[in-house]
Amino acid sequence: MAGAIIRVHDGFAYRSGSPSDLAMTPRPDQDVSSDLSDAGLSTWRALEAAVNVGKRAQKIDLTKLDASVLGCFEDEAGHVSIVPIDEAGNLDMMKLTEWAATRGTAAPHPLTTMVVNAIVEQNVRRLT
Amino acid sequence: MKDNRFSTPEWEALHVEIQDRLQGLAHDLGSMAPSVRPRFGKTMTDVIALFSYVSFQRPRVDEGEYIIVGVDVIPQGTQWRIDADIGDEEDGTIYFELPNEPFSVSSFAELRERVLRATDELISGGRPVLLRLFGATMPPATRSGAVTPELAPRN
Repeated sequence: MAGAIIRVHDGFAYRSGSPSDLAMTPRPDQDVSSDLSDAGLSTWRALEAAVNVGKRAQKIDLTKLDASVLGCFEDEAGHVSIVPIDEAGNLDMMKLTEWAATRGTAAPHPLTTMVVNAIVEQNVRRLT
Repeated sequence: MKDNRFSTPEWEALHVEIQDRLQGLAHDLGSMAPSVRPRFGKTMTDVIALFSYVSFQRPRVDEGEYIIVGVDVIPQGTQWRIDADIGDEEDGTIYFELPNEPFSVSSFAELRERVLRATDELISGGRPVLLRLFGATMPPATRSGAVTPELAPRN
């Protein structure tokens, strides 16, 4: 990804996969990064960018995320990284690490629950 | 928004019944592929009526690390849709799915019956697919239920 990355607060974004806790939690080995374009939950403005034909995604309403704890950062390609932020609105690496560490555990992290609760349309399939 | 004609205890009870069936599937897979670890769960929100699932982690694969077997009960206006399928938990690939045309019901009991029937069909029909994904083979009849001849693994 290249170009400017801006913080966004509204609209929808698509995340590939199922509406499960695991799928809505960052991966410790790949999504914990200080680079905003690689950090946190990877989502896309366009379904076509999120998944290939025939696959499914979950539609997330970004306005349903608490903007004081989760930030959405969009690049020029329409990729939106959803990451925990500090009081200044910057990526909070400690919280991101903590969030990712709960992936696959029995108790979902509050940020996972927040993202799951922001799903407004389930199992959206890309048909063409 | 979630259809609020039905109560949370009703959805919770239905989840338990689905999980009971998925436990049988996990037991079958575990007996053939002991290293596969099941993770059971559900999602229920204001929008998601009930998504009840079991997910299996595939050890040492380049892609598709988590395979999810799930039953998603989705309000469709005044109707309902059941997405019962086997897929990749993270990239959205669908390996096996049942038809999911919307339908109407007059009671939760009727919806429950449809959901459990779909769960049974998912398990029996998707079992060979699941086993193939994990590189296992299994006799056609186990505690998960009989497999129809055309779906039974071929030797």
